[in-house]
Amino acid sequence: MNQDKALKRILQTRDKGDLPYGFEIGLMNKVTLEAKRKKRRFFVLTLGLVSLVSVAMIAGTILLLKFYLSVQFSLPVLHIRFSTETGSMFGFFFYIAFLALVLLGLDTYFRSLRHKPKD
Amino acid sequence: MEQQKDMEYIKRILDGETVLFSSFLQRYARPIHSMIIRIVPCREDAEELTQDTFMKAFRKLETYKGDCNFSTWLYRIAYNTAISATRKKKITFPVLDESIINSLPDEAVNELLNKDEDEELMQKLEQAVELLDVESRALITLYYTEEKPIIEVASILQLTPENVKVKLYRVRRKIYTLVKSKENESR
Repeated sequence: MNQDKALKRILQTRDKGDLPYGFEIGLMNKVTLEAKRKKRRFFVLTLGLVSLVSVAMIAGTILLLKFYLSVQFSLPVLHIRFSTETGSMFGFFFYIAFLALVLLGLDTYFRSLRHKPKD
Repeated sequence: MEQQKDMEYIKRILDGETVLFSSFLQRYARPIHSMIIRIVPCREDAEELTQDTFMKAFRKLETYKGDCNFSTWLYRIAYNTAISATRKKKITFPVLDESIINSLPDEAVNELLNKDEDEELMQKLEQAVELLDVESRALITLYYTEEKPIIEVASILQLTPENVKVKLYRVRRKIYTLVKSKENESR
């Protein structure tokens, strides 16, 4: 069967339709993008799963303590009385915490900008 | 040896060295494209399907377990991608009378398919190949052009080796019938 010379010849000489110049580079760019997307998807999925498991564990622990071990919860923070003096102090602490968060956010943003060309 | 090297590359790609995928592109993009273009004759479609094949292969790379050659696995994806594209377009192929195909003498078929000096016959052969259904075209491309062994062709087309042999036998007869009907038309 493999000696069908005429059939072999027409199949081998027929237009092979070469791929255009830069096809592999273009495709490789798509593959790289897909790899990044895959990585991001994996990160989001892992984060979601870890959060879900954590919340479930916390909820489970609370339920166990409250209903099976009959532990009474009291939140001391609810008994705090706000005066004008403590109010201004809380305001200052919140301002400092907010500032620290903004600075940390900016630090992460600039770091990601700096590391971008390496990807 | 090649299989081992491919497995090593796949492991590294899955570990994050995406750039190594380019070696697969360099090695297999052209042969895969040349098979697809014989199934889907439109150049633009064939190019897009080649791209789809590699993207699918990359997305499902972790499912390749090394039970066949990496090239076989890639060809299988390419074949399935091309087949589903042709199904969407609903191309119809001429139906040949089974009794005529079965009654053909082997010697006549062998003689016709080996006459490679007759240019007029070569043209008719080419036209006959164009009229074949998608699976038959893929089959003869893999067997005659890519020179793949029967067992590999069977693995790509998801058939048994015996089935491939039978199909090859029938495709040769179909080509003969189509060439003869072209000859009768021109008379």
